[in-house]
Amino acid sequence: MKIPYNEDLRPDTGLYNAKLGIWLFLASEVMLFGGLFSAYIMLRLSDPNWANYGQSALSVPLATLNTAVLITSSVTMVMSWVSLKLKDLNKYSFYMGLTLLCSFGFLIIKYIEYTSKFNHGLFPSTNNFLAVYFTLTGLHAIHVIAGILVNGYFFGPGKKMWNTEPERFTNRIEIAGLYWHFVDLVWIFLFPALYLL
Amino acid sequence: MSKTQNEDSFWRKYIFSIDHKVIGIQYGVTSLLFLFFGFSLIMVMRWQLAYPNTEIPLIGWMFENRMLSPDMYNSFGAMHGTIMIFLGVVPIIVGAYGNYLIPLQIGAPDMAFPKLNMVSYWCFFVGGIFMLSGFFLPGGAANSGWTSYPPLADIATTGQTVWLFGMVFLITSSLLGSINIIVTIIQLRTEGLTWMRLPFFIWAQLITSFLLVLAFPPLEAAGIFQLMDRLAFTSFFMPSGLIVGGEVISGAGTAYAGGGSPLLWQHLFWFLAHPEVYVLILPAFGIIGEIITNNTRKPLWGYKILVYSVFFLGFMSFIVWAHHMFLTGMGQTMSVFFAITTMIISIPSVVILTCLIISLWGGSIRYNTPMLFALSFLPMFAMGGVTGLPLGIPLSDIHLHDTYYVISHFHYVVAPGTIFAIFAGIYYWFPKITGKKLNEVLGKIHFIFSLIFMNGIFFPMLIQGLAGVSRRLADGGESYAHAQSVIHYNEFMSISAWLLALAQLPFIINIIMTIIKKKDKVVDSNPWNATTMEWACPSPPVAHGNFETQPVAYRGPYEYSVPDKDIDFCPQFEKGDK
Amino acid sequence: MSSDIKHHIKIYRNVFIGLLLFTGLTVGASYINFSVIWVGIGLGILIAFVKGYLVASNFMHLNNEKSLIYTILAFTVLFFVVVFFVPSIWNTQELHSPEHIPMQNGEVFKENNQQNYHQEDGGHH
Repeated sequence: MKIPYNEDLRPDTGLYNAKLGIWLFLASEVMLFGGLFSAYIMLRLSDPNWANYGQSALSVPLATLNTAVLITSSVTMVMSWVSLKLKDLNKYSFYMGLTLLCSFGFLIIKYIEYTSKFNHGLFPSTNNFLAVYFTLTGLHAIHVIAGILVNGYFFGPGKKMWNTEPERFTNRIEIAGLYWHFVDLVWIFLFPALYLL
Repeated sequence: MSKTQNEDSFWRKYIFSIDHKVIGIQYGVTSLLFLFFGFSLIMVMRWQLAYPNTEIPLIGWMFENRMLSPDMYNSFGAMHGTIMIFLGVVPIIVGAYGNYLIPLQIGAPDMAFPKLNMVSYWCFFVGGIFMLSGFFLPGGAANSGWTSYPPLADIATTGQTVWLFGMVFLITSSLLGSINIIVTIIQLRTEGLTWMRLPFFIWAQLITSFLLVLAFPPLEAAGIFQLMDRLAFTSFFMPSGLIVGGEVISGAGTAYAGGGSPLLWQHLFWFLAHPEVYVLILPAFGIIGEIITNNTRKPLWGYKILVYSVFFLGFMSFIVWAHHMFLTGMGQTMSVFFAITTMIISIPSVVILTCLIISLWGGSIRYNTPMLFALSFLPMFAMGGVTGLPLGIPLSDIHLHDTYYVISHFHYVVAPGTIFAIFAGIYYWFPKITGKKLNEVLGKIHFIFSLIFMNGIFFPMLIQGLAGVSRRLADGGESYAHAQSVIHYNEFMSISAWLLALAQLPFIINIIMTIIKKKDKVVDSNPWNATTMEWACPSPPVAHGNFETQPVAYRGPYEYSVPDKDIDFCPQFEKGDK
Repeated sequence: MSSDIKHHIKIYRNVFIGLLLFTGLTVGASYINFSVIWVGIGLGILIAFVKGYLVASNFMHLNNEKSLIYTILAFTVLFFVVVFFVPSIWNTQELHSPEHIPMQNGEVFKENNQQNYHQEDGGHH
């Protein structure tokens, strides 16, 4: 029993199933971060004391580095998909490996940031800015971890599918890429919202 | 699927099945059990309301002092609401009805993502376990209302934390399920099934799933904030200077920094919870539509109008949520905006109801059990809808907000509304699922007494609400002077509730009896002489793949009583002349 | 097909460079103290949107996607805007912060009318 349009494109929509599925998932994620950002704006606008809450305690250089790391991982992710389109499995592994490296790098820098806060006695409960900061970046980090799990699977055991169904595997990397780019996209907005503005 | 059906182990076949039919039945059975449990909670509460401070009979030994304490009453109330909505009704109409019927009605072999479907069910199951585990924790289950308003919910007992974890699982289950439904409907429609040939049930499920995908995530965000407040002592929802039991518990020098906004929770909660009520009713409209057209032997009146109305309803449902917040001190601009959108959203609901009613005109009506439930749905939903109007106007809402009027309003739409649609659907599609029809006599007894007692419970609530009796009072209004003239209805309503429970016995007995009895030698795959595609496959459908041959749609979904034809129906999937 | 892909690789490289440049730009701009605060915030949001557009249109192939996806995303963005803005413009007559937040900066709660609760506090919290 085969499910239609898993790989081939349905004529009237021009899509294969997983492509539509992942965009719907990303739409729900847009709404999730909509709720999160809405809370940030509402809390910030209603509190005249906001400026004293310690945005200055955040390390802009570290976060800028993290932004560069994540952007790089996004590029390597799309390059891994391109490599599959060019039928080069070794290049794919190279770029996917780089993506994973950058992702771990992002998490390590996050860890450094968090522990430095804790060591200075700054916790989510200290004030609402820190509550927003830890919760939003924490949720983002959880999404990074999920991405690492998915990409790690496709780097390792999942790679076997290339031998039997190369087109389906390529589609899977495209889908994983869409998710990963979204994680990058969220950070592109989170970074200025929390660190700069 | 490389394995044949016979090779599937017991676990793969019945427990971790990826077949949408098995998953649909899993959702159906689990949520019906949750539904009956949620009903039991309110039956205990109704004892307290009818006979305050008297010992509970039969099961009193489970409670301290053999009575329902006010804290327990709150707990039961919060859990009743949560269980009925999130563990009962929505999993049935979306998880059970959606999963089982959608692939069949569009001629697909399964849902688009069968493994994801299985994950959705088990997420739902785990979420349910989390929620119910609260009853076994010290401090009991969640007790801050199904709405979990902070600051109370922020500082409530541990049951609230497991409620939140449960919600995270339920929301995840819902998101995965609705993505599956949308992709299935858009991508897996069989040849010839163009958009305007889809059964109305499918349109209803499509819009419902879009509501779930886009509206649930802000509640997930809010749930995470509340978990942070409870576990990490953040102050997302904790205002400064909150005094509990004479002590200041938030602000400088306390565990909470303060500066948060309880209103923020309300916004994020109701942003979901309003579309959620349309999630509760839209699939019911779909079910009722299918049953009405089949039993009037006429096409549904105004098919195009119905489709445009569900789109409009779905869109509007995102911009009315603040009518649940009229009493929070909102600015006039906002208040006017939301009152207007709320009035506007009543229009598509009325249009849909009107189309369903006009569909009866000139029909050859068959009064079987599904049709009886469907017919009674119409005036009952109308009652519910009409009582919603004074709640949507800020002026009258000031008097009616948080009274029994509100409880009556939403129960009228969900109880003799959606739940009647659920019953109607079970009687209607049982022969497709099992190959056997349910007993008509028992069905009619189930119907008539359910209808009578539903009204017995919820109509007096309108009177109590208009008198100003507040909801969520453990003594049912006993201690308030303004309630004294209407307090006597409590006993009447409670007796109606217990009799309603008894009225479900013929239903349960019917199901058990019919499951046990042997199938007829030749099973009719289309016993209702219906036209939609789920009646093209055998009853029950083929285990993997549903259809013996791939069905094709040759015409619209409701070709009943076509002129110049010998029989009064022309199925969508039969070739014929046209 | 192959040259098509090579063309895309060039685009990805350019987008990569552009993203890094705009990141530097937004960090640099954050150190400028604008006379009107909203200019700084607006600039930051604008740059973020430019970067987001680069990622969405090129890496996520949104510049060449099917109309169904565009439709779904259009409604999503609309509802995002609704949930984003409505809570903040709630008290439309009062788009500023309340004058007094209790229990801050060492303030202590006093019983029985000695604490002056302004009407602004009563409505919002």
